[in-house]
Amino acid sequence: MRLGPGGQGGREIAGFRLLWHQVELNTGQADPAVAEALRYLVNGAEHDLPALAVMHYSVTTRSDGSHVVSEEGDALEAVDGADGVLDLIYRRVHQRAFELASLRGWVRLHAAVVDGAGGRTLIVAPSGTGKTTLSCRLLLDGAAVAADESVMIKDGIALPVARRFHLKSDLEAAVPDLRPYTTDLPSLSGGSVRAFDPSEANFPWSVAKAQVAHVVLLERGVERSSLAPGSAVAVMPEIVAESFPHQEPTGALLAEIAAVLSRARCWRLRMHSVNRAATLVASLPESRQTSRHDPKEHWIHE
Amino acid sequence: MTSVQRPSRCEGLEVNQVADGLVVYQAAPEQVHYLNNTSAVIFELCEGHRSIEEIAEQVQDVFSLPAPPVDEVNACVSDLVDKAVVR
Repeated sequence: MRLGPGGQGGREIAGFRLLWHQVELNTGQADPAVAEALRYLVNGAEHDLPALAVMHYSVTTRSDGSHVVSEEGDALEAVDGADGVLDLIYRRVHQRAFELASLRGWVRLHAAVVDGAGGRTLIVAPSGTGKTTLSCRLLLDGAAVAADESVMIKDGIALPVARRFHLKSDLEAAVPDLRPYTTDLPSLSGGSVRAFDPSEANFPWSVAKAQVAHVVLLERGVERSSLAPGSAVAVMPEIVAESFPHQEPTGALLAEIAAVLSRARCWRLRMHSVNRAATLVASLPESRQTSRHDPKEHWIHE
Repeated sequence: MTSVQRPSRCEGLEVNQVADGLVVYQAAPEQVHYLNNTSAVIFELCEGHRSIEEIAEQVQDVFSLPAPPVDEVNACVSDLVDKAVVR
């Protein structure tokens, strides 16, 4: 992440990485509200992979208050409001990033990525299940959390997608010790979601490729939190349901998911208490790269 | 402006069509270039046997322009040469 003076207005130019892209945002000719809105996109994740392209976006606010967004000097669109600028640039940079990833054979999954003693763990679940809550708990407990939302997979390798963690209004009740780190965060959806950058709170945030050791399917539990081994065949449809196909054929999508599941151990985590759920994830055994899970393993309860 | 007389695409490029142009992947040095639709047309016309003027005539035809955009094609080819996707 880089913030500094730039442009003729002396306002901000900001840069950040998204997978193989370096994105440069120039708001020197824009209303200050635009730079404030674009803070949401900027993060300090360190990427251990080369930047293959630099994408330049600039915003100019016109006398009628609308904003013209340009990509590589070509005007894309005129939009109203700083949130409109954010929406347009968000869509463009992610389209570019996921398009390139797809062309290189990567498939995207809806999953948080945690690197702990047991190796790289993907926590897969639909929105609203608690991936971010669990991720924040694990972060505060000392795990390296590389993503709370999505990950690219290929050949059994996972590459986290850096995005500020989305803190919903009820998250701090579940993870109260996160509160000291959540002042002055950029927000979305009228303030109901705040965007947290672990690196701003001095937590390490590193994006690198690594073999997937564990796949955890996260579910809401009504009683106590529990972790149980699952079969790759049984979890496959649920993993497919949490994939984001771009332009790859279905066969390629399934092959990449199967490549992960053939190397990783699969688990079902029923989360009731986030603290106990985090303890269970932290207790996942060290990776045995080529072996599948042992069907004789039993449920692990809190 | 480019000094290349009859530009041709470099070898070893992986070219993919996307909704708004081309994504050109270059293995060494590893880089990715995005070409908008206009640049993509010019890039495709760089086959080594057309001059800048002939490419401009083709572009005039493709985009129904009143005159061949020689200066613009020259600038675009120069940019493609700088990106090492055309020589």
